[in-house]
Amino acid sequence: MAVDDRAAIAHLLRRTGFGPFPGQVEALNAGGLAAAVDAVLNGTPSPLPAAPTLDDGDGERPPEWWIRRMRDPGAGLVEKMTWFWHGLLTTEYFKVGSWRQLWDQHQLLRRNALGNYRTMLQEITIDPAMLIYLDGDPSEAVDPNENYSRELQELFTIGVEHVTEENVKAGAKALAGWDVNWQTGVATFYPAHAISTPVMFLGRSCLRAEDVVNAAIDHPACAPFVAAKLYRYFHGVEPDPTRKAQLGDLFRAEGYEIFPLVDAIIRDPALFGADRRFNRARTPVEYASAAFAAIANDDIRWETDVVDEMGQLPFFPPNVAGWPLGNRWLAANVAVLRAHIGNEAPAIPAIVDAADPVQAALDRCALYEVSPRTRDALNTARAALPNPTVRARMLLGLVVSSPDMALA
Amino acid sequence: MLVVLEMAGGHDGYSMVVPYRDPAYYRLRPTVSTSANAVIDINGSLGWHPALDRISRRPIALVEGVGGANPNGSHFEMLRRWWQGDPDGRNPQSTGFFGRICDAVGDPAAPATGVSLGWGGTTPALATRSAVTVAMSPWSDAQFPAPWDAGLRATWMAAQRAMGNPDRAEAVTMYNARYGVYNALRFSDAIAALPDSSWPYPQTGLGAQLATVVRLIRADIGTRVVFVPMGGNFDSHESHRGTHDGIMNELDDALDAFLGELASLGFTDRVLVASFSEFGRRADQNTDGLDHGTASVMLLAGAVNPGVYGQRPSFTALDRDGNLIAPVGMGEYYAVLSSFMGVPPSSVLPGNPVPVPGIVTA
Repeated sequence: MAVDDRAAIAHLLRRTGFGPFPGQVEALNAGGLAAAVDAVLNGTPSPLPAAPTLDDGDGERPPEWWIRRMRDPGAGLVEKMTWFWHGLLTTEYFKVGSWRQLWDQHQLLRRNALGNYRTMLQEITIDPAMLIYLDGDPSEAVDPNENYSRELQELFTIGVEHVTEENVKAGAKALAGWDVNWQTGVATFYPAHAISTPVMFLGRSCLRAEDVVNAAIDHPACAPFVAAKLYRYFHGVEPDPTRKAQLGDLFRAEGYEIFPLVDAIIRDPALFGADRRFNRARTPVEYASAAFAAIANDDIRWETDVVDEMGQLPFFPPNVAGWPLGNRWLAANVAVLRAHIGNEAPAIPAIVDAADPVQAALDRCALYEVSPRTRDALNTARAALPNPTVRARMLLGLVVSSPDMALA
Repeated sequence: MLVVLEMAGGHDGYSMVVPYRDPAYYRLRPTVSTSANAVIDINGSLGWHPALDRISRRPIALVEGVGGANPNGSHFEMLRRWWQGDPDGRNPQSTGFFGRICDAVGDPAAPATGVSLGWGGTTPALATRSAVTVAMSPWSDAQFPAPWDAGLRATWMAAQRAMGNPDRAEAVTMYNARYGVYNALRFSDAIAALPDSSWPYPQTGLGAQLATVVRLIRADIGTRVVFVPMGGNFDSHESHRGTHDGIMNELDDALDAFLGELASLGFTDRVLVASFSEFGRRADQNTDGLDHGTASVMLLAGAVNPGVYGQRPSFTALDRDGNLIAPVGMGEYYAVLSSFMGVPPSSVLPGNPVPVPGIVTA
């Protein structure tokens, strides 16, 4: 082969998908990194499987459905973006209490995942699950609930440093009037419960939810705020102020279209620099998807239990801020769960038969630039294991549970 | 050490202990109640459920009438409040109440300041900002997963130890990743080094959990909070008596063994056992069960002055949903726990709740 971009391609796939899956990097390496980036950004996702069970009855529920979908190497960038929006514009099953409403919201996020942020925010503001989750259901103008008004500004658009109590109260008034019918699940606007004269919100005269969302989106802080969140998601670090401003300008100039922003963030050569490799923890859904694929295990129920135990069950975020990207995913209890998965590794023929079974196990997990300390530990284990089958099983298990595998 | 006994599902404190001289109580629950002549008297107005005869002889403190202001009927919302320490539901927290205690008292070098002994993994109640908390199954004995075969096990563990050797010379994320493995191994080693206890525990979930708590105490590895999610169907909308009687039997067997072992080791004054549940149950019965309610009775043991604390809610003046009105807030109850741990309540709870006085020894 002319070039060996496997390490960079593996990095690209860790950040833009839920793999890499065995063989995926090798297949893309023929065209080099540039072609792999094009393939990620311009690829067409594989068709979605049938919807999960939403009402009473047996069958796979949305969390299992999504975990299964993440395992599809053809799911593409839209999957990672849908997961991003689920963490940002988040909603939790416990409070909503209806899979149907959460599933409808999931479709909303999926449909808009690489679409237009203004459109998505307008839709989610009056989405029944979101109305229930952030207490827009019910909220009446005489005594409006401030929850959504605050989070819309603090988490979804402009950031805490731009939020004032006056704007929280004003936004809450203009957002009021919605109610979700608990039998039909339909969100309805009741003018009698809404304000009849506009309020000043973020310097604009606003009467309805739509006005509030537009005012928040058009605030100068919104575009760089959202751009920085996406940058951190893919790069693992905050953008410097110049880059943040550039990306904000781009986002605004593109009319809040998400794809051009993501395209710029992923094509940024800095993404492939040494300081961006393995610079954040893999979150449990990212880790479990790659790890279960590496050990050739398709027990989605078990995989779902593992991500739940690690603390990242889809549709069950810990709070309105979604899931953090921090060190908690590297803690001792997560390390124990990684070892549980590794301890179930089978003997994969390609590792059993390999001249260098350590390298073969690392390749299967797409770790082309493993740390010297981990490689030494693997080589020591290899030397202690004469039986090729036993050796293959343990080496793969050690790689799957390694600290290197825990990083994105 | 604080041992938290979580009774998720909505435990009816007023079936665990019975206000057996209150005619209103029996009018509301003509068949879903323990008769006055069956209870074990505590103070002339409150009596133990008869299944609790062994712990009735142990030093126990009961706090009556504990609940939140602005109550909600949802398990999940109310569990969230109890996990996060959000007494009236208006101050969501990004960490758990017990996690904040771990942050306040934790030794950064301890392999685990907080331990959850559940079967479902970590609990939001132990979510911390910085302290290390570990979830372990009481059946696993906290052992790091490894192959069964002894030779393979040695090779596997040697490799894990080598990979779990943190080095500041590496990038900070790699250091943290290795440090997580290091902590898991250290915790596993500390537990493995302990002699087995010969103290007899019942072969129940709670028995296994509490036996493990004593092992954690004896391990002396800096664990300060152990979270024990108790199994059993507390959510007794139907057939309350049969369901609840069974749970009380399990509680009596396991807690009596635990308190006995603590006493034999001289640890009683170092350990506070404290129960909580997201809510009590409805004042009046349905056909043969009790729906979701509000105020309940919390149980404390270990380093306590035995007795009945708090305040009895009225069984005649109910709220508009037919529920007991809680005279004692979650904050005042939780303040007892944080104070025991030497943590000022105002630093871990919204507002500045005053602990229910007199409960904790020393």
